[in-house]
Amino acid sequence: MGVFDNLILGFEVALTWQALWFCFMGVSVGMFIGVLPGIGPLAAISMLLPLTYYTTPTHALIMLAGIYYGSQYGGSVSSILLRLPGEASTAITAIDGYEMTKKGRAGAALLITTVASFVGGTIGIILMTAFAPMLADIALSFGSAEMFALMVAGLTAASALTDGSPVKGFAMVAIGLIVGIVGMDVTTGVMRFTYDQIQLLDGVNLVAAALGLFGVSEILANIGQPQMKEVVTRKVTLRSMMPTWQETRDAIPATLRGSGAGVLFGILPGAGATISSFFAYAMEKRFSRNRDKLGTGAVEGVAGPEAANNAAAQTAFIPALTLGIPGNPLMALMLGAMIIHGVAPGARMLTNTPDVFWGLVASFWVGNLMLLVLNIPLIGIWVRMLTVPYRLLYPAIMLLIVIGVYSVNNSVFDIYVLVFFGLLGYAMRLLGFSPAPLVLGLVLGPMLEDNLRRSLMLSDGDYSIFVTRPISCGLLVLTALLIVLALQRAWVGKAMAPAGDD
Amino acid sequence: MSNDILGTGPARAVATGRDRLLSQDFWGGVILTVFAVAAIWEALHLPETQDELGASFFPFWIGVLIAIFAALLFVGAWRGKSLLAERPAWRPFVFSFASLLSFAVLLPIVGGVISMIAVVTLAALGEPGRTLREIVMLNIIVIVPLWLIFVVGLSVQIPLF
Repeated sequence: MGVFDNLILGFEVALTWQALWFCFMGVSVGMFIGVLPGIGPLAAISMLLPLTYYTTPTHALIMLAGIYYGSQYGGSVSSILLRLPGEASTAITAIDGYEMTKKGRAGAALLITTVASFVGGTIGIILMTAFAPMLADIALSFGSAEMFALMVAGLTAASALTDGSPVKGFAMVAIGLIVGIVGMDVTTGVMRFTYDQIQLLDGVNLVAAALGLFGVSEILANIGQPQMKEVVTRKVTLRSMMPTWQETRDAIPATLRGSGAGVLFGILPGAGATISSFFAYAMEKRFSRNRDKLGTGAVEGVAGPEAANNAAAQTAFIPALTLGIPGNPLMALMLGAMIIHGVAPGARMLTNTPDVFWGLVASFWVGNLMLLVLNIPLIGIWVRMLTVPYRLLYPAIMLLIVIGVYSVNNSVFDIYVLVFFGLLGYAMRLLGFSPAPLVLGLVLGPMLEDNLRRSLMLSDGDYSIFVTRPISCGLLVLTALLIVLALQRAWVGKAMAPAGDD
Repeated sequence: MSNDILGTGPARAVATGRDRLLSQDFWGGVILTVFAVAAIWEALHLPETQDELGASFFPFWIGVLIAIFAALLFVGAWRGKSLLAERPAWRPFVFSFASLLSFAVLLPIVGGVISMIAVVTLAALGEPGRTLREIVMLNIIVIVPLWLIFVVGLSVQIPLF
């Protein structure tokens, strides 16, 4: 099948009324969550995961993906209007975006953000359409040793690059791997870490674990925090949104540069949207014609990073869908959702369920277009939403979490799992650990063990299989380099640019 | 996380001297040790197949790995390189977990409605200065729509009473 046949197949799926509805739901909820400070996309996706059980896998994925990139758009609204990033990946936008707001150019900043995001997202999608099948072909030739090495490299990169100490990141992945293998071992039939709880037979409920780690601990971190009182309620009129000719001319090259940074970082595991937006800003500082004005409300400071984080949000799907290896915790949750829905991510997804794959890709386009259309008239509503006080919001979120977790299996036991991971997540947060890498380990744990076993079975227990096969050897050398670099960074103790994990 | 990016979080002191026992890395190491011991213990007590790659192989080595990370953290804490651990906010902490647990405990006994009221009320009490009126209103505006979405709309099996 050529690229066009694929896309036609995709649009046949994505342009049905139902798919459009779920896409719309996803991007609207995503926008909403992105705008609200104090609840991130990780918590949002895990909270809405149970809701998607009531629909087909394709529609569920379309909706979850919509939440994911919708929240990227939404995060920039609060960054620009309040200097209060809804999310780490839009933090850098706050610098010039808020300056523009102070100058009365909030409307133009929002429009430029929307368009730059759209362009970045589109470039990401084009890349994905072109390269995903190629990458999947390569991945199909991978044996278990290569897959094992690839997973090790991916996990190492993703945890080394999260905020805080790399040792803590690695440790959280390792704990995640243990949590991931709880339940009956498929190969030997032995129960592991079940402690005679029959409910743990099938493993730890992903929704309960993710909501405990992100939802509960996020609420705890935010209760009682002083809130922004004054919101820029100056009317954002349609007329004020039109950028001037000069602004447009400055924004175009910045958007393209940002998109370039975004697609690159999106593919790499661990890097993702946050780093790409920081990188795009740094690029503007170096290459933009108005580099001196950056920081005082230059459009490049908005267009570049916003194009970057949306491009990255799209290309992050490439390794996740074609290799089955999530580059960040959000992708891990998406893959977890796929597995729950019975869609196996990985190279075979393109051949076994092409309608799901291409339908999802086509829905990205539809969703980005919807955001472009939605975003502009709804800006006034987003602004008003920012004024809902957290003290009214969080009890609702708490109940949503509880019912969501309960509804997965109609089981009270899962609430105790939620409490366990809530306690763990909160404690780890206080101790400077990021809970995000744990989810990566949790999702990849069983696959990692499986590939390790297969490789060693193939080689009769000879560990040299991992270094005699060139691809696996290369990946493991890369892993070793990453570990050395990360530890060196930690040992030297230099304060690096804060690298979030989305 | 987003607060840290803009550097609005409070700057915390490095834990040296006697405070090293209150440092992030010391307590982080303690938690990791618990996981490492649990993993290795479990691995050693699994019914083992003759196969070298049985059920215990993977958890055992991951346990060892976690133990190494724990050791690294302890060394860091000992050398006075770690920040002081952040103190938990007790009031939100106690009420939030009471709120979650109340659902698990109450649902089988008194059913959905009272359990949901318990969840919302206890969660709300996590922040001081709530009036009775506010809590009642909050219960109504939170529970009714969620009930409609989940129980009516998606037919989640939650017994009413």
